[in-house]
Amino acid sequence: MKRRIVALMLCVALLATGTIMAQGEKEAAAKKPAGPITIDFWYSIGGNPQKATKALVEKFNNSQNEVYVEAMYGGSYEDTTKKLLASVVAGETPVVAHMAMAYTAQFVLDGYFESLNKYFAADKEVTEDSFVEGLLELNRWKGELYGMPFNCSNPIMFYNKDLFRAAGLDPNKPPTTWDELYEYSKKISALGSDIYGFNIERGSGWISQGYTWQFGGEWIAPDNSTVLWTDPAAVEALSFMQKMYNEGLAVYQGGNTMDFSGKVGMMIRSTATLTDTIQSANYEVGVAPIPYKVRKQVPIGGGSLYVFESATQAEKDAAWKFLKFMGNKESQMYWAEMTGYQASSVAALESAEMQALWEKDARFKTTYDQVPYAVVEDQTRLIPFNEVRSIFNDAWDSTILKNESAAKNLADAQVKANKVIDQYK
Amino acid sequence: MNVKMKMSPQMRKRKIKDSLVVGVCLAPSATIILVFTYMAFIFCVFLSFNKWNMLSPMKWVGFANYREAFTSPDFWNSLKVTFIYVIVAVPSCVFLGMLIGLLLNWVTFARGTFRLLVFLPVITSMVIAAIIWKWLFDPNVGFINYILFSMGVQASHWTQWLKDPSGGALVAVLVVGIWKRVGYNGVLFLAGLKNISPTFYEAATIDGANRLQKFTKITLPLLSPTTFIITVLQFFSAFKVIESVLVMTKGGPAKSTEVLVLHLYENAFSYLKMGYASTVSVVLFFLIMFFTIIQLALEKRIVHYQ
Repeated sequence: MKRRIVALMLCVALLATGTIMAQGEKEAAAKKPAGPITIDFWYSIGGNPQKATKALVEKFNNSQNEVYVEAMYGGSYEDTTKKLLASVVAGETPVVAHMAMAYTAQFVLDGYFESLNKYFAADKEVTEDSFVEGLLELNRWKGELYGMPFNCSNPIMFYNKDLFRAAGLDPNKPPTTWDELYEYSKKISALGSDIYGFNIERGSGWISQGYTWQFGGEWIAPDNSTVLWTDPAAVEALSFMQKMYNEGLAVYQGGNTMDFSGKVGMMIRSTATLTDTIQSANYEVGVAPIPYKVRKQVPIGGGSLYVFESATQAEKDAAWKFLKFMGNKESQMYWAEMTGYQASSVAALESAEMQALWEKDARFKTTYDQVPYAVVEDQTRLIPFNEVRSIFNDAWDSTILKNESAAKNLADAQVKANKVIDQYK
Repeated sequence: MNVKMKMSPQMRKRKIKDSLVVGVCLAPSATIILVFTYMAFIFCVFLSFNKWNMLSPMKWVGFANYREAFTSPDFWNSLKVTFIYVIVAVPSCVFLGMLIGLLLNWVTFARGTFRLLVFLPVITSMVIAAIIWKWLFDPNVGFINYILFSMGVQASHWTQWLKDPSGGALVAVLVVGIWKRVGYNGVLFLAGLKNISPTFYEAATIDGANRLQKFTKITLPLLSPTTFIITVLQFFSAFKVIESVLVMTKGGPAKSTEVLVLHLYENAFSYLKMGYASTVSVVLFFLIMFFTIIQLALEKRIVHYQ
């Protein structure tokens, strides 16, 4: 009997403390100083970018006392997107979110983001010309600008200078065309049975889509009505990679394992991993523009900062101050140097600091050399983009790993992808 | 009647007290189960008749999601992959678990150490284990291939492991799943073995039974309640496998490891097709229920209680 009473009392005590604590929280919230306005900011990508984002938020918070940004790391782009979806359903969205352009289509179309047009119009300190050409276009839907370009990138070629030397190749003359790359790979793979000339890259879909362009093809029709994977150039790009794989000249692998191992001569990775690759690879890293076959064209990737429409006007104004800060010259310069991402601010690009960085390490310049032919991924505005891209990736997987016909797999994939696209028409 | 009336105020008081204690103690977990299991399930069934991307309002579409599922090659593929997984994983887990249980029961030295070693995978986080196995299975720098090649195994599509769409990836995922579960079964079997009264064996010895006879006539039948419950549990967990696949292959290459739950997950959170994903989960629910009913029906026939 006594025990039971004790147990009962414990239960009551537990419940009571819960209520008291909840009350305490409420009081704390009410007592918060009216001074700075606090906005939540959810951001993505770990490693160096995470460190740099954190540092920038801290700098912003210390630089003024009107806005306090509470930053929360959401994981990869995918994870952050999932958290944001959950927050939408729960009706508790943050004020600012950092998302990959590729994941934003449905958010934009369903009106979850605030258009930044009026903020640009009202603000004299910043104009659209402050940003590197093309980057804002990534976020423009029917004239309305929805995101502030934050981390922009294009893929570049990394190569192992040590292997180049061992194979008797000039480490300062990386291949510029895919045919040259094939010849180089032959020489490098001849060095040993576990040495490969090239890593095709697997899984991102972003880079293989770029290959299609470089062989002269298109990925999707300009009006997003159909994918164009049966185009001979698209088939040729895949067949070329399949041949490299079959001849043992290339590996087909995502992730860092092979790239940092020193057993691969050349690889295509986002410029965003430049700092990380230089730090992690156990060989002398060379960097060059991506080779081409028919035309020079690389995809622009990366993420932007978006303001949620559901925030109050005061929060939105605060968010604009934060966005402006993240896109300004100093922030973008710091960001570019810390990560290898492309700076989105023209002022940063033209600054003396940037010249000094290039002087110190010319590898940081490659991504900017590609800017003139970096192309907006129009398919990022495709609603079922993730689904369509995974169909494309599966076709590449089956062709290369099962050694099936590239033409047939891409044709089948095209039918399947168009069916998905039709569902959203 | 009279007696009862006399006792009733005290009894009633006690009864109220009892039910109060029970109620208060059960309330937290009951609430959690109600909200996160039953309500979630009902909502899921409701969702399966809707189109919903979590961003725009829901749209009632009737059986359209079910039609989509049953005509989608990807759905049938994931069903096939799941069945292969279940058919291989469940018997392996039960058989190996029993073997481990018998061995644990048999060893007389360093018992604690053996039990610890066997149980270690069970308490390891699946995500962490999967990441480590992913490295072990790496075709170029992985430890497993290093061992295989040094034993003279020839490189083939199988040794591409997680990158082999023709079976290697599924084998690798199965290995991890079995490795993770088998220790738990082993310990359950050990408990089952300890429960068998030694008198049966003594009697059998007197009757002159040999080891095999003792095993098939005493151990197996008396272990059958344990075997049964483990088989049922393995069915549940094998049908619902996702973490290992998600971490190791993300369903690839070319969907060769895309199990049903992963198919559901991808559709829900990557393609934002909540309605369709709910449909898949309702189908999965009925599948598991169907197999559970079969198992329960079989229980009466093959399970012997002491």
